[in-house]
Amino acid sequence: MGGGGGGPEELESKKALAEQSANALRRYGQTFVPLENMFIEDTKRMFDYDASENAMAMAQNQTSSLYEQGLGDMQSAQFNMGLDPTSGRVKKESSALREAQARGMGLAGAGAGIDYTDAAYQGLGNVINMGQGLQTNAMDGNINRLQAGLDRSGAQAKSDFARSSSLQSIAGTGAGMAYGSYGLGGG
Amino acid sequence: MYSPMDNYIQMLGGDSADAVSQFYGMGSYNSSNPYANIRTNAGYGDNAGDGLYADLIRAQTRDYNQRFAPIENFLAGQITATGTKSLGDDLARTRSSSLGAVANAQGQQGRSMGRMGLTNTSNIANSTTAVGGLVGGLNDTRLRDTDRRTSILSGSMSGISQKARGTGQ
Repeated sequence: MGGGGGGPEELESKKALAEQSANALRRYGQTFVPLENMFIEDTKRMFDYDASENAMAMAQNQTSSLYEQGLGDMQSAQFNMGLDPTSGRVKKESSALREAQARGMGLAGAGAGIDYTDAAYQGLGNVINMGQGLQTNAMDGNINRLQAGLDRSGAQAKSDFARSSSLQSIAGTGAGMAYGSYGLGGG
Repeated sequence: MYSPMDNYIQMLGGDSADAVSQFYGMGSYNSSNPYANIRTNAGYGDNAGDGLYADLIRAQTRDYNQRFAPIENFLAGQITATGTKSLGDDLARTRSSSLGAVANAQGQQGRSMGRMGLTNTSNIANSTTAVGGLVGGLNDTRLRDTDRRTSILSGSMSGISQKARGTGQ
């Protein structure tokens, strides 16, 4: 028996390909691993309790300004209608809109906080994708998340304003007056 | 560019390179780069290329286990029977946001009335709207946490279990 010893000789191109892969992996380690590590650390920090503070505050401020405009318009309408600021109607209506503002701000801030936590989880999901060489999912940035929250707040504010009889009178519908309802109703 | 020791380590395989680095107190050797010690020269021998490929696969597996597997474990560990472990923090943030907003609006209302020489008698904190907003917010937070759990397990956020099975990790 005996024989020529060993199997077929390894192709030189296979060695070259292996060396090419090794070089690519080293370069990946030098250039991209630190960036990946930075992303991983940033994403982990998103789970800190206070991390979403800024996002929540911004959402609250922006929502507040939506209602401020409505409150200003409502006051102008009340003055134009010659309503007595000390009257129960004026007090009730402005108070009702303030309550709606408080609810809107609270929910906008809470929503921003939850969106932030969701983004943190999505970020970690992307980290795993990176590790497994899978395509990562597109993530919304801070501004997009804020805008989505504001769109919801804006729709709610619009609905709240629609229930203010003084604001209705500005719109010329007179619906609020016709209904004889004071305040925002349901508040 | 490289010291003789670096060159020597570079010629070794992944596991050997790590062991030698640690033995000579070089454990922190370029620790941010898990591939710093892999050799880029296949060397000589019957299956030199195959051996280098095997080293690369081992290095990638080690890197995955060190950097990414803990994240997978963390994500899996976040899942609870009803949602995720983030629920407590989210509920606290929702509560704080709602109560803070009430205090903020109450202050604004007081200043607004004050500008007209009036005393603010409204109590926003006790209003149905504010309390309803808080309760609704808390309920919404719980619902979204349940949705999040589903997304982590099988949806857009991660789908960790399918990935783990797909890659055999």
